Amino acid sequence: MINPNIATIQTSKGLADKVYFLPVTPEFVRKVIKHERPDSIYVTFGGQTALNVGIQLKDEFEALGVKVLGTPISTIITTEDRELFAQSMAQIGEKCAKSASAVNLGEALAAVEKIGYPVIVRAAYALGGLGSGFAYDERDLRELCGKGFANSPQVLIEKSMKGWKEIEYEVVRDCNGNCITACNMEVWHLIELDADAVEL
Amino acid sequence: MKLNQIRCFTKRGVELKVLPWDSSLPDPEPHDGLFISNGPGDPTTLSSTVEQIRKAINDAKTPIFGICLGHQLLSLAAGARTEKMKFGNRGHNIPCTDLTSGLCYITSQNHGYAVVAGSLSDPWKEFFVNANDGSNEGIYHSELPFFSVQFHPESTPGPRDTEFLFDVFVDAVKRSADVGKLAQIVMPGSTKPQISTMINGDSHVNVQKCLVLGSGGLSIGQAGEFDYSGSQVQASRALRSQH
Repeated sequence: MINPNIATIQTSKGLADKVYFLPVTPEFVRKVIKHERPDSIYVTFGGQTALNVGIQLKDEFEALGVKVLGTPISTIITTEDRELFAQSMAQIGEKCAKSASAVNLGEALAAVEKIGYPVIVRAAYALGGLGSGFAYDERDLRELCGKGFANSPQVLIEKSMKGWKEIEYEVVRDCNGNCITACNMEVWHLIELDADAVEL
Repeated sequence: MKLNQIRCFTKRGVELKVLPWDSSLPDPEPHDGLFISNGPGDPTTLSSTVEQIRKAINDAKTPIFGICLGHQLLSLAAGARTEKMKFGNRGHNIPCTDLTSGLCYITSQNHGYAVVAGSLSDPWKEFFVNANDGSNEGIYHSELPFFSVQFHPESTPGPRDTEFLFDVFVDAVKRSADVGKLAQIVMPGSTKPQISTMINGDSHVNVQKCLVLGSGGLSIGQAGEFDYSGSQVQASRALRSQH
């Protein structure tokens, strides 16, 4: 286990056989892999931080002799890249809120022309809603894009779903294709997506 | 016999003739399939019925499908043994794994006797097995369309997850009648192509040393349920239990 957080249950005694209290960054993860020589790695138990490292190191794992267990990195990229995700959903006939991705303010403004206000601006590859928020007009959009592009190379402009209810399912699948729902959660009103918690 | 077994057939356009337990087989009226229903009590008391089923197996004229007691009778006719269970399996949340595909289904059951899987011999094989207590839940013939299940695919009560077994039987009946020769049953695989390709690549891995990446420090307001939801706690335990 690599996790510099001494205060969390992940790093408590008796769980992992060995804990490295080091930053979860490609540089340190590479060092630990070279030192410990594990034959496998999990990047899905460390939130966005671990996923990002997994994506950054994806082309090095094979050379380092490490097999990626759990969700494959290619799948992680598909869920992270908002564009790829929207395409994937379209492939299986699932509806997504009208959206478009943008890599600069110009593209963002063009996207809103097609979608129409109000929209939600979401930063790709971002931690827990960072750099995301609702935009009701161009002034909001410019401000949010400013923040978003500061944190991420890509933002997704999506039609606002304010007022809708969200229900989330956690599904676990085994290698035979058996799926069970580990739990489901009801997210009260889609107004809490803004990490700044200004909108209520 | 449960009425919904009849409904499961008739709604698939199948005409049925219902015979009493002590009829002799094969019935003289032309027919394309033989179905053996559930019933009460110890299967070993029905030796005359087992004898008739044995005749039907040897004649090999039509596909055969059995449910519950019907499964036990088919198993006895196939040369296996049955035994009384301590309490039986009763309920409609009982997971049964299809050994041919690894897929697990939730089933409805109410039986006190079971087939002893170890007493089955080729060409008969174990079909389904109870994922909780390992008891036998079905058999099939490896070459001919003869199969039976201990649970109730006709539900009523219970989940309808395994009702497709009626389709499997009726499909075998149709194909056998069309060709004029017995055609083996076909079990549905996964219908989602993406999942099938994933399964083919995702078989059990054999690893010795696994590195788990954590998240590092979290800031207030940042989503972090992965960290202290115990997911990693569970992962540690799960990874340990593999060894």
